[in-house]
Amino acid sequence: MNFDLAIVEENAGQIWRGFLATIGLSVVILLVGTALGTGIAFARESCNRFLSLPAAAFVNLFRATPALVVLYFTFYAFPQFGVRMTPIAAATVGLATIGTAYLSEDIRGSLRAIDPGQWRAANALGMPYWWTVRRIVLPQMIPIAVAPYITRAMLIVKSTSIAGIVAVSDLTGVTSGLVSLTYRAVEFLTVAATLYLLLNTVLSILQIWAERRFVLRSGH
Amino acid sequence: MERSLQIIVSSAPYIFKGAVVTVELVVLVILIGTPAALVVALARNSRHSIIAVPVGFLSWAMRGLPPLVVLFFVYFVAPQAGFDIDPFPAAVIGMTFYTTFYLAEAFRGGLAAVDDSQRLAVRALALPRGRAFFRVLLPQALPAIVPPYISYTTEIVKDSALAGSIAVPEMMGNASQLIMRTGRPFQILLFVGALYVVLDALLLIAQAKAETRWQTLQRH
Repeated sequence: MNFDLAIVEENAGQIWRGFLATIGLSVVILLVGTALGTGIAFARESCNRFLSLPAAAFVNLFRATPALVVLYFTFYAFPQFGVRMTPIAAATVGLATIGTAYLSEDIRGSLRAIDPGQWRAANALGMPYWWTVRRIVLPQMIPIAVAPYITRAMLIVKSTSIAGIVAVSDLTGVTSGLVSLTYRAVEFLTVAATLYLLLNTVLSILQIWAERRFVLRSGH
Repeated sequence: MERSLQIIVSSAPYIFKGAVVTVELVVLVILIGTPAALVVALARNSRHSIIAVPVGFLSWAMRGLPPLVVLFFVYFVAPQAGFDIDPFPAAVIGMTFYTTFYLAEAFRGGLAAVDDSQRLAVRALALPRGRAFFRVLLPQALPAIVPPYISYTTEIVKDSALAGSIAVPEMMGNASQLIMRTGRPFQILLFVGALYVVLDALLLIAQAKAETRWQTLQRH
């Protein structure tokens, strides 16, 4: 079994575009998931049951369902109701929904770690709710959230690999296409694996930087 | 509505047939992966860096790769290396391979939670190492191992849906064939999604049972 590097070079452009698609998909999922996930985390911790119950139902539903089932919903089932999307849009919607559910749990964990006294103190000083959230609670949540958040980001990068199954040309999609075209599995899968591990390593370095930036400073 | 029920009833036998394969796959992966994970956990904790470092590297790589890429590796690389492999054994091997390293982290975390004085005590009593591990250390680690262990087994259930993409006739693979045949993805996905939630729920019930059992044991 020889390793044919030339065949990888021939298809380098395609692999690169797949790699960029994987990064793009991951970034969009993280941005959407962070924004919506924060909202859902606060809704779940709210005293209002009309907010907390639907939020809990949403999170548990999407954490219990395989990602592929959700992707098939957005890709195959939505058109049944007249909602047609391109493969990449369907994959983004499906994966971002799941990502939101998981991220909201990570964010909720750091929200619960905030001493309730902080809320009461802000309330006693007459701070409005949104001001308390923005100026008191969120800044204290960030250092706690760094480690679980980056771990989740790594899981999200890996979760994008199933987009290839619904015809998205992400790194895995491009790779499996090239494998069935050329029958050179070792070469293309090794390249894909290396690129995924590279992304993970970059995120690990980001975590070290973020922990220095936020966690150490909060020690003062 | 009646039409939808008809579709679900007529597709049920084929889906259930897939569900049996899904359960077989999950059970095999857990049965092989659990003892293997214990070995990996001990190897990673080994004092000899010649064992701990390579296993640690393998663990980093396997946990950094998307499960789908690992499955593709086993399924497509084996024929290139000169031996044929059927989809089902390929899925078992691939899933067991990465699952082992995730489960090993659950074991490692639990073992780290056992108080160091226990290790000194078994040394002071000159208990043989094997017996000290299985009769003293592991039983005390179990309450800390079970929650992450079970929550990872629900991941195995959900990941098993990926085996369909290497031609394993499991629940999701059969479901996607039915989607193509009937053109009614919504009804079929709803049915399959519900079955996955049931499988996950069974595992979570097992966790709750195990936890109450240990709590009563500890009280005595």
